[in-house]
Amino acid sequence: MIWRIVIVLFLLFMLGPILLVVLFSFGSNALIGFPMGSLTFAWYRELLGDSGFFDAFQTSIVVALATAILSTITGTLAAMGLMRLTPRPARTVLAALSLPVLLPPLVVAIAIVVLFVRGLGVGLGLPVVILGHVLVAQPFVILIVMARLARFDTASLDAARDLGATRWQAFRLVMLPQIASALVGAALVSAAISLDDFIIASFTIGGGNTVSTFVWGKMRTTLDPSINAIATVLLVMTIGLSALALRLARYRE
Amino acid sequence: MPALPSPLLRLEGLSKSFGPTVAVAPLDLAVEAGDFCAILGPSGCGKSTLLRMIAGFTEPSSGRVLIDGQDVTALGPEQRPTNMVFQGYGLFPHLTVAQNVAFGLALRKRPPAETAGRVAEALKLVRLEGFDDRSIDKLSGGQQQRVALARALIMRPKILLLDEPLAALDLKLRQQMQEELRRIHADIGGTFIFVTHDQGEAFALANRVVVMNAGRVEQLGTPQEVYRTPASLFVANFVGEASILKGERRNGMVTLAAGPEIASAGPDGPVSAMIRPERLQPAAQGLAATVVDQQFLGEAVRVTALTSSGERIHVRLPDGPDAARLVPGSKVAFAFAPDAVRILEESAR
Repeated sequence: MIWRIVIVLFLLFMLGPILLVVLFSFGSNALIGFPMGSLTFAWYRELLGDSGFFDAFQTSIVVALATAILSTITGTLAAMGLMRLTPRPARTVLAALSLPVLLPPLVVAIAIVVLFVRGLGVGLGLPVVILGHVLVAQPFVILIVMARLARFDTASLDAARDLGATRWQAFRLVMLPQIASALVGAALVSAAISLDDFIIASFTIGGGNTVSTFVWGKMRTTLDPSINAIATVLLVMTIGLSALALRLARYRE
Repeated sequence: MPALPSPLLRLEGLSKSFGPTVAVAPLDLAVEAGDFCAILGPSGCGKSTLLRMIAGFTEPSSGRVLIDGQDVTALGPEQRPTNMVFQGYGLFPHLTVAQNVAFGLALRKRPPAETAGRVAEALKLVRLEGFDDRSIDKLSGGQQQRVALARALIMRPKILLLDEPLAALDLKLRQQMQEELRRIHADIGGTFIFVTHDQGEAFALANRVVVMNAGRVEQLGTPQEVYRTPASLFVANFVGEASILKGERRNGMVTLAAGPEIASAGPDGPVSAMIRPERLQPAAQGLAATVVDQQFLGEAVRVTALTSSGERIHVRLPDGPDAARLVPGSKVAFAFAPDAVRILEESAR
């Protein structure tokens, strides 16, 4: 009994703030707090009319999509390369590739800025944001694809070659259909990671906004419930993408 | 000038090294059209590497592969007139049985009607009629094996290669598939080469056996030749059971450390004598030994005995009163016909 109370309290502590955000996004009261007023979709309507939010939203979608595609390609290639190595060097290379996830995002962000702006003289902007997100999302892709490849029967690739397929045909006709669901899952996880990021985006975007930098900017000036609406939209998108990714990557073959 | 009858497959000085390790030492081998050839050897002897070099998966370090007189050494597996049945089958789990079998023809863009006809024919050959739309993971091991076979045979390869084709099957199924393989080989009149570590399987299927050890060919011959007249001590021991007795040759007469003398021409020096277990019979005199163990095998009894020189001999005789007398501890003599002994020079190991 006591444990149940502890668990309920713990869950309230963890999820309470999030639930409040969702709740307030539907309240008519302009001040965040109780009483929250009547049920309304006004804050969502306001978002639709806000061109700043709309631009940020578009940017976020573009960045997330590009991150998903790029990191899935590079991560899959890396995973296929790693599977060919013997375990010891594979572990070392995997650790090196996973470093961007283990390091504080702040350090990664500063490193990217130093490299691209100070080192290579490339201006800040969306391409740099996307590269930064690929750096962080790629390790997850590698792990997901490696887990799938571990169960992949490489003899089937040999068999395809033996039956007249070129290397490319063997990959496209035999390997790709078998690992496709894992790749889609990995792409969705990458997109969720990209949508989620604030630190790298805020350091490298230069001008313009992603949704997260837009929210941050808005928080510094006003604190109206439209922020709650944005948070709720982000919440639904990232949870939705992750849930979809889990389903695809694990439960369907 | 009349064309010389050339073998279907000819390997010339073919070898493979992985760094400093020699997997296959340079070897020459010829396989005739219609042969059912077994490459037999313990694991790690290079037999699978040899098969993969014939198929085109492994690039040889030296030498040539000729199929039907044509040098295919530089060709990849997709360009060679060979097809392979892989050890783990390597089936395509995302395709149905019929799609698996049709894979090679689909790549060649054959007309659908021809493909359908040949798929039906191939499935009939391996007795999987009506399995067309089944998915691969719904099949038993034996059925998967048949799909792999049909998928390779539909390409009408000049040579069918099989890598340990029956290793994953249980005993009953293995015997059944052995019969099937022989029937299919006879039906299509093809040339089959398979790799195995199981001499029983090699003998049951093949009309030619290549015995390999440590990357080299120890012997090439019919199963009978390999069994009765092994070329080396390795073959004698690896293929079937054998008693190996040490001896010394002087003036065309071999004297065994265990007693008996055997006439055998050749240079003087140390030799080994090999006798198969079924060629030894208990007798009033001959090779004296003390029985140390007796095993009942059903149709036969297997007796192990120690000679006076301390060498272990193996005897196999039908179950009966003779066998019953050979209890552990009893002292007996074993006789053998002169042609039952194979004298091997010490150098031939």
